[in-house]
Amino acid sequence: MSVAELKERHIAATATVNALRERLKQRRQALLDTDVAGYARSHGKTAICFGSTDLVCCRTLQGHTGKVYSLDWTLERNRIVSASQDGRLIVWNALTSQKTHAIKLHCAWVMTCAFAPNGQSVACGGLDSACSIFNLNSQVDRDGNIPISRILTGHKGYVSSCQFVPDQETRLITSSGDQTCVLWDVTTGQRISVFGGEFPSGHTTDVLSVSINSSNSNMFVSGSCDATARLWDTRIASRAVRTYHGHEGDVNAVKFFPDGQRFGTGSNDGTCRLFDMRTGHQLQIYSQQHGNNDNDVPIATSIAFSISGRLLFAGYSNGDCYAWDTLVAEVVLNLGSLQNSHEGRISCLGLSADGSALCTGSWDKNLKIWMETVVLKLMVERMAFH
Amino acid sequence: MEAAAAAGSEAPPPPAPRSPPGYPDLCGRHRLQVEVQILNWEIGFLGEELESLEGLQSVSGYCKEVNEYVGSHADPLVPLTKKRRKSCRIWRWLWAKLCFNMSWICCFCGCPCPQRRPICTCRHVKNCCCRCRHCGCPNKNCWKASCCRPCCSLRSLSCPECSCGCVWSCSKFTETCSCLKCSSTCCMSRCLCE
Repeated sequence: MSVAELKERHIAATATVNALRERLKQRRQALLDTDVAGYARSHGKTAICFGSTDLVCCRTLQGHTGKVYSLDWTLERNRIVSASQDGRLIVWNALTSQKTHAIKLHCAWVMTCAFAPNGQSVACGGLDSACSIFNLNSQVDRDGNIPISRILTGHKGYVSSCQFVPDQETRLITSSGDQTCVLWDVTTGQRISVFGGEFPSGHTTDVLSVSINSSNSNMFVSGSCDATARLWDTRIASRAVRTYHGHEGDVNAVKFFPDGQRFGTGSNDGTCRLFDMRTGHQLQIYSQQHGNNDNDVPIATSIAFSISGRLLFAGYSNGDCYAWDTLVAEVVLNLGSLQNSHEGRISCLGLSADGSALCTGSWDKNLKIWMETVVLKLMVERMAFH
Repeated sequence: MEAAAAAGSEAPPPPAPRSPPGYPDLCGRHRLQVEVQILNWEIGFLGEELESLEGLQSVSGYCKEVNEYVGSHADPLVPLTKKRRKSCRIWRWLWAKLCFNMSWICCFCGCPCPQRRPICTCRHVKNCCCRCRHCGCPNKNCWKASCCRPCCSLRSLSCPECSCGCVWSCSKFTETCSCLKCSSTCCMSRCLCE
């Protein structure tokens, strides 16, 4: 086929793609009879009322000497691992704020960390384009450092996010600046599957975040600088199951809704959104009015749902941490305005496994734990009793 | 000699580099082929997605599912219901009257010390502090709940505001170690605040 013919085909195919996308957009618009907030209001729902002292910062975890970039809770025993610009991972006891481990990394440019389901190992990754696994029970080396137990190499770009598969101690998923996500076997260090890259329907630029469906660990969603989120089935690496359009900027954060049928996203366009996993519908936009200048819109850097899904916590680049009432799409609390709040960008956040505590990490080098006052009192009483 | 001069004037021109032959722009052609292939895949995916929308219920059906799920699950981060909060409002008003300028009798932050006072939710929370009669944080300005002096049963807790970068798991850790920077129990040799 000649170059001229190829160019003609290219033009025709581009026109077909654009026409199909427009038809898809119109078809989805026709099905958009309401959104979550519209439905909730029509059924008498009102926003949750937070008093100024209902949610308090009960712990400040100090110790990092650089910006905190990532954090993760254990499934039990209330421990947190955090990763920082200071090139360390720190494992904290969230109840007592004591540090149980401090791991000095070979590559200081870490971007993400995660706890293994059994809480015995942690993983981290960053600009070294690799994911390092540390066993917390290992003997320390001569310098007092925990040695790497496994290093997962193969990405051709930075590792932006990592998460262990919930019910499988030996599987881990990473996202990368090389436009792919990878499913790894941690015991052998081998790549099991690569999602995207050479295969069609993959992300077209850096992938920034992943979230694995806790209800069905074969499914995970990724967020990318190409302004889309994509759903993947770990058993079918050749193509994405679905692509979710709507955001107008990088999708920095993705997190599944507790029911496993929906997921939330946070983006550079300043909005968070709720998508239906199975149908691709955009169910709700969580957005606040800002000035006309686009540069004023703070970036949504991180998100997490409360255990019931009623609250969506979103951290922003200006230090705000909004608690959105997901049903009525209103901000019901700004942790950034509370006493003892962070003094810098919120870079990461996460809920404890039982949903009773929120941990936020910030560029102010600290992590903070937030709890509802009554629950906190009950917990303290229980601790005092024992 | 003249013949030689004549022969020299007819000598072939000195060698000069030749332009390479005009090869076809293979890179551009290959790139176009790949792009067309990607576009054809995209056409297929979009077609499948359009088909999948046929027979789908409208968004309200899925919004209903979200509402039902949220309504059927308890949430420890969501404060008490409005109904209960009304009765608490009277209680808090009463406490506010009692607690005015008497913050020493109330402990908002829930000090773990058994000597702690009743919980105060009054508006003077800033004046409330974790200062039971026998316990208190070594940092006099601290009002956090988790601090406790050795007299209390939970003396192993350290004040979060004073927490240094000390590592619990260090092999040199002992109960008697203390950080140079703060008075927290820690392992000096691994203190990150140094």
